[in-house]
Amino acid sequence: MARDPDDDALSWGDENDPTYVAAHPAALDEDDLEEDIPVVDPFSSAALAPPLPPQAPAPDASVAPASASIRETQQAPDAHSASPESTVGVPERQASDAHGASPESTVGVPEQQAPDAHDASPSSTVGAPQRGRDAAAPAPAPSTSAARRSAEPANSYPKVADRATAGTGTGSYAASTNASSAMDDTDAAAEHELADAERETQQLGSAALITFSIIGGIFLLYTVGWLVTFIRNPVDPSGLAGIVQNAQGILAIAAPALWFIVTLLVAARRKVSVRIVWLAIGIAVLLPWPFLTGY
Amino acid sequence: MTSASAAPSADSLPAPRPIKHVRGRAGWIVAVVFAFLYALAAFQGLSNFIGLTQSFSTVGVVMPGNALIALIGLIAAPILVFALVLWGTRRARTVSAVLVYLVGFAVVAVITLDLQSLYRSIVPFIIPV
Repeated sequence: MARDPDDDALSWGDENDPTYVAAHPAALDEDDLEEDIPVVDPFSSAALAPPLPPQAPAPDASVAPASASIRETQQAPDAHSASPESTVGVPERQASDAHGASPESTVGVPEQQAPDAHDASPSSTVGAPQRGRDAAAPAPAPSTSAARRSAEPANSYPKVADRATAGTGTGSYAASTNASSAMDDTDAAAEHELADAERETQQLGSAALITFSIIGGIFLLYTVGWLVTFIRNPVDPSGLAGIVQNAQGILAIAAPALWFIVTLLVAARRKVSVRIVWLAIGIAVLLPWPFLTGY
Repeated sequence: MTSASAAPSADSLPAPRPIKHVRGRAGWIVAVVFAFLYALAAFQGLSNFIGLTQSFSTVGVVMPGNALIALIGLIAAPILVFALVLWGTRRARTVSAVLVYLVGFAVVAVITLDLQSLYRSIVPFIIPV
């Protein structure tokens, strides 16, 4: 990107700059300190870092032309690192992370070694209005690193955590890493819940559905058989024995339906084959033997 | 390197294992309540066994072996089914255990009617006491 030498954004970045912060040399970027970036998220990890001194207008436009020419080769838009902490406020460098810290981008720029996407320095939280425009623009020079990162999976939390631990040693890095670990735990639990839910709501195949239908029909025939047996052998309901006998007859009528429903309910999370085995056991156990023998 | 480097990454964390349910107080209450029902069925089989053996001994007739097995089965079936259900619901939730106990009791009724029909097929008469 062609830079105007009079661009005030390029006039920041040395000790003469009133906004220069020596505590975070690797994380600061002169381009982050633009004037038209008013919003700082107080809930971000950057709140743990020292506050940014008040910005002042650019004193000199010819301070850092060399570093600006080097930074022009670092434009590598990364869609994976589009988190607010990582990308906002990096207008030209476009959220170059540890993966993006390719040799061509770090050699000769010692204060920009391993710029971190989770860097919590004040500069990383300062937004830039031209950020979206630059993110949409294609990466000109380091196309190989950009392509490599674009081929990475979308969920790269461990890599983000590794990058955070490999960065400069500030307390905000520990906080961001702990938050990343907690996020990983939450993601793992959510994935397990999702897998369980998918297993529960998994649609039955045609073969399983037909098998269940056939078995259900057999159980329906069993119900009819037990009903006929109950009608064929009336029991005097007087006395405890008669009550128990009637109760047994009614339970026998309901037994096939109970077995079928309870099997499908209790074994809903199990495999279809397991359910079919249990239904087959029910077919063997609940056979209406009195109906078949006539007694 | 900061203390954050000691924090384990997501790859090193073990996957959360599913929690194994054990039978709680409610589960044991359900088991005891259904134990009385199953015991009632076993007591019915026991009363049949005692009454019929006494009837056969009264008239001086030896009970057939198959009929004796059927009567013993009437006693053993509720006990065996209850034991199986109690073992099968050791890690089940209380609601599932109630359903399984209910199905087991229905199975006991089915087995009882099966054995009674078997006995009637073996001994197709009623001995007057």
